[in-house]
Amino acid sequence: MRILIAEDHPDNREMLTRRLERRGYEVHCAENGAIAVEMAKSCAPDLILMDISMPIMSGIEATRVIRQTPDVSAVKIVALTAHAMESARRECMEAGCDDFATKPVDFAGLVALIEKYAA
Amino acid sequence: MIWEVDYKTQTIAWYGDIAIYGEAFTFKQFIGNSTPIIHADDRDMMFAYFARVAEGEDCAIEHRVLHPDGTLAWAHVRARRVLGRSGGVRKFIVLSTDVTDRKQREAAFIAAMHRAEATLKAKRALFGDIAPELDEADGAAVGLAEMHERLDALMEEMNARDVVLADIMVKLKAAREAAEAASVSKSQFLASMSHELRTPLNAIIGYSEILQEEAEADGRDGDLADIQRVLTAARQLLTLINDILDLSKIEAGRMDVSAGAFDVGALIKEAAATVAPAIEKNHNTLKLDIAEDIGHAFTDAFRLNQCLLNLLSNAAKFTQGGVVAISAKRAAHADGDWLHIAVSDTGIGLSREQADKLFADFVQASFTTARRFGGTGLGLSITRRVLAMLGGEVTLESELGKGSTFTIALPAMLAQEGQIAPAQAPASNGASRTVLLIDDEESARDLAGRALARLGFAILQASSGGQGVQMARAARPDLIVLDINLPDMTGWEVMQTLAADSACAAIPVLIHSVEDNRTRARAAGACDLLLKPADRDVLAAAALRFARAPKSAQPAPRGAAENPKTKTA
Repeated sequence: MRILIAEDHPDNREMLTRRLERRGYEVHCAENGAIAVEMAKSCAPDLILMDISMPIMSGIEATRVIRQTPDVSAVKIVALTAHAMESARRECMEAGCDDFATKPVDFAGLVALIEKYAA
Repeated sequence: MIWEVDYKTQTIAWYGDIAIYGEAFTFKQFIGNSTPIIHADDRDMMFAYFARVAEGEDCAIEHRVLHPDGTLAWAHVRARRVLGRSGGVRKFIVLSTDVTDRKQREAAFIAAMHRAEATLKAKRALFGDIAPELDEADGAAVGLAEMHERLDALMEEMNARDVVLADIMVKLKAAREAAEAASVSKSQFLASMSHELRTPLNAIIGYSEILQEEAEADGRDGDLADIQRVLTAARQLLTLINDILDLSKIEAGRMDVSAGAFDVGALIKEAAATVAPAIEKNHNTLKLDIAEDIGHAFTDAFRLNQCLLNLLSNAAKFTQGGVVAISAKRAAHADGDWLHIAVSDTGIGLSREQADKLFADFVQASFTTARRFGGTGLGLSITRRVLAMLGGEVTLESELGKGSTFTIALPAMLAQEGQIAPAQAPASNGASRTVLLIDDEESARDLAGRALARLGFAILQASSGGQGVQMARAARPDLIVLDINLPDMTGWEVMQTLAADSACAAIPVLIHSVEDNRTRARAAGACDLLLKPADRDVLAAAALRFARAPKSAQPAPRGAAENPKTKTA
C-alpha cells in the first residue's frame, strides 16, 4: 500500500515515515499542500495522510484541489492535524477528507484506520 | 337656574330648576355666610366672591355643593350687581349651572395624569440619582394647568435622559463589540496554543514509541523503563492540554452536547474497563453494581463517559489497596427518569473544608495532595460543568481517611429545545407522567403536546419512528401517542419494535392517525385509535384513561445550575 504523508514539520514527517515503513507501507512525503497535489498525480498513492496547517497551500485547500482533479479525485484522504477542536473536524470533512485523526498520533489507531481503507 | 338676592326686600327669588341646590336658602343664611347647601370649605370663598361682585367686578366662580344625603356636586356661578338709586347694591342676579359631570371628568383626567406622573417619576428613579417623590394623587385639588406643567417638565427631563441614555447605549455597544473581539481572540489563542503544544508532543510521543519498540526488540530493560517515564509524562501533558481546552470551551459557551440513545450499562462497563489498569496498578479491586433495569438513555454518551472516567481515575489515584465501586440505578422523578451513578472508594477521603472547595476550577484538595498524586484538579470542575449542561449534577459524600463517594445524577432524557413545559397548576392528574408523541408533523405534535401539557403531563417529542423507538427506550414514557404515516417506518412497525423490547412492551400506545383501521390497531395492541385531528378534549380524556398510573415519584433534585452539594460525615 502506498501512502503519501503531507506534513511540514520535519521531525513529525520523519517519525511517521519511519514507523509506517517499519510496518511495511511504501511511504512518500510532501512538505506542503502544493507539493502534495503534485505528488498525488505523480506517485498515485492509495491514501494521503494530510496535515492541515502547512505553508504555501493548506491541507484543506490541497484536499479541495485533489477532489477536483481528474484521475486522483477518488484517493482516500485522512486529515491528520494538531487542531483538536470539533470545528476542525467539520472543516476537514467538508473539504472532502474521508477521515480525521488528531495529533499526537495514536499510532495503533492510525494503523487501524489505514488498514480500513486498504481493504 | 337663576336666583335674585334682593337687599331691599331682604328675600331671595328663585327661577327655574333649583335641583342644583336641592332646596332654596334664605336671605339671612346668605348674608350670614351660613348657607347649608354650600360646602363649608367653600363658603368663605363665596363670601369673598360676592364682595368682588359688589365692587362691580365681572367674574365667575366654581364651588362645591353638599347635599343632605352626602352627595357632592359642583356649581358654576356667575353673578352681576344691580345698583340702587343711592348708588348702593340693590340686588345680585346670579346664574348657577350644574358642572358636576365636567368636574368629575376633569378629576378622572387629573388622576390619570397623576398616574402618568408617578410612572415617569418611577422611571426617573431607575437612574438612581433622584429618589421617587411620593406625591399623593389628590384628584381635583390640583388644577389641570398645573398638572400639564408638571408633566411637561417631567417629559422634558425624560427627553434629556433619553439623549444621555442613547449616548450610554452607543458606548455599551462599543464595549460589547470590544469584549466579543477579545473573546474571539481568546478562543483563537487557545486553539492555536493547543495546536502549537500538540505538534512537538506528537514528535515526543512518536519518537519515544520508536525507541520503546527498539529497546524491547534489543532487550534493553534499563532504557525501556526510562522511555516509559518519558511516555507517561508526555501522555499526562496531553491529558492536561485536553482538559484545559475542554474547560475553555465550556467557559466560552462553545461546548455542544449532542444527545443520542445508548445502553447505560454498556457505557459504564466500558468506562470501568478503560480505568481497570489504573485501578489494578494501586492494588485496588473494582466492584460493579449496575441495576438490571438501568436500560437506555438519550443524552450525550461521550460527555457522560468523560465524567465517569474523571471520577473513576480520581478514585483509582487516591486509593491504595482498597476498593473502587460503581453502583448505578435508574429512578423515577417528578420530571421523568433519572440516572444515578455512584463512584465510591476507600481512599484518603476529604475533610469538610476540602470538600467544600473541591469543585472549584484548578483547586486540588491540598498542595501536598498535588505533590503526592499529581494531576491538575481540572477533572472535577469539568465533570461538574459538563453535568450541568446535561441537566444533572455531581454530589460528594466523604470522610477524611475513610474514602469518598461521588454521585452523578442526570435525567435519562436530555431536555429538548423548544420543549413544551407541563402545567404547574395542581389538580392536573397528568402530573408525574410522561407522554411521548411520535409524529413527523410538527404542528400536530405541538397541538397534542399543548393539550396534554395542560393536564401536567411531561411531553417528549420524536419526529420519526426510529427516534421515537430510541426515546421510548431511554425515557420509558407512561403513554405513547403514535402517528401511523411516518417517514422512516410505519407506526405499525414502531409498535412491533416496542413490543419486542421487554423494557417498552408495557407502555400503552394510543394511535393518532388519519388511517381509520381500528381492527388492525387492536390487533397490534394499541389501547385506542383516535382519528386525526382528534379534538383536544378527546385526546386529553384518552390520555388520562390509558396512561400508566403515576410512578411513586421522588421529588426532583435541586436545580443543576446551583453549586454541588457537599456533605461530609
